[in-house]
Amino acid sequence: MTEFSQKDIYEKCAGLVETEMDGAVILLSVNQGAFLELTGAAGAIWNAIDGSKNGDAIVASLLNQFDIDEKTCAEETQIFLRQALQKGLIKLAR
Amino acid sequence: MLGKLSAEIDADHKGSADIAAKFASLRRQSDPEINLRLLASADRMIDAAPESPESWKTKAAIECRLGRFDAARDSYQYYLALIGRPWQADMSAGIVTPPDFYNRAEFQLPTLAVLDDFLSTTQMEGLLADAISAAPLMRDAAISASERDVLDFTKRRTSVVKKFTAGSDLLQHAVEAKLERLRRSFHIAPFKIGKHSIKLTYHGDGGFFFPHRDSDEILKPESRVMTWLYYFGKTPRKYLGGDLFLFETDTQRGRYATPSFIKVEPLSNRLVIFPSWFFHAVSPLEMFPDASFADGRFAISGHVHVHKNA
Repeated sequence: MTEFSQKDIYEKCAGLVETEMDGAVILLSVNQGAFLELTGAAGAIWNAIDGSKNGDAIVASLLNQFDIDEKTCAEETQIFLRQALQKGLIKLAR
Repeated sequence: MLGKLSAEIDADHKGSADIAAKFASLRRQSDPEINLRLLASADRMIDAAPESPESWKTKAAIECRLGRFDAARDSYQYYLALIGRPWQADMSAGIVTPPDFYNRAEFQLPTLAVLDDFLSTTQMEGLLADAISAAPLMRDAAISASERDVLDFTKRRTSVVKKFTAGSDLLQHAVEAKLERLRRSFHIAPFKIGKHSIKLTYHGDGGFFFPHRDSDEILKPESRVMTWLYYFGKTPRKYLGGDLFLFETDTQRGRYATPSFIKVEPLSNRLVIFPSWFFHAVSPLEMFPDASFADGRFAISGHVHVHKNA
């Protein structure tokens, strides 16, 4: 179905604080030195990361929200998750 | 396109001549509403887990972003107690942040003291009258580049009076009386005090100063070791912006970072002191339409130097 492993479940790293304002998810991580505003689908991906959903489940939730083909959705979700992992904002739960 | 995680805001638009662009990220990051919402989130985390050190550290950082120094100090003290490194801030010296503190490797949180209502009202008002009278003596301030001073309005738009003596002795003596306590609180090694340079600075409409530091080296002979700023002016303020921002600093590599900045409003009769090697900036000032020159942002800027024979 996608390139994601069914077993990759993601959770947010400790020390992050977030809020929503004007349709954007705003994140602050003092440990990572990051202040980010996630709009649109990026915010939706972030909100889907709850420690219980694997990559496929995240993609599925996005397909329900956005008018996008599955392949593109999966590719771009993977890009987002990879960047978030690199920045130390999320980690693999299991 | 779903969008990359590309919303990280970079406070350093060195390539842009647009001052607004350079400070746009900082303006966004320091937005009070955003930070109050983040603070509420941090408070919820603390309510859920009061003994979680990370939540208190995050709360402290947000309080610094808001310029709420008492709360920031309390949160840092609580955090450090939780991790077994108790810190007792010297409150009478106005200490806000702990020394030798790193949220992440290499970037040290600025040490800072803030003292409000520093002079008597009479002293402050007299100083303001002298400063306003000094308007004809004001000159555009330079920046130091390659061992010489140059004007660069893409980096600084400040007016200065270098030989402004009114109030200088009073402020110099008051600062020097606190130096030893500040040195200890900032964890600066003992040094031989050299000259004390003082000038009047003024920011009017469009005034600003891009992130910079006043000393590239720590405790080098003749170098600046302490920077102090005494703000004074008419109230209520007739301008927006003009805030002092202090940044986490990598003193070894000479670079700075956000988002754990400290925002200091230029409240009248406020004294601010910090080590000169921390990066800091003045955000662009926007005066109200009915404001005059006298309603601008006045400050006495002082630097304590290491003795040349240190």
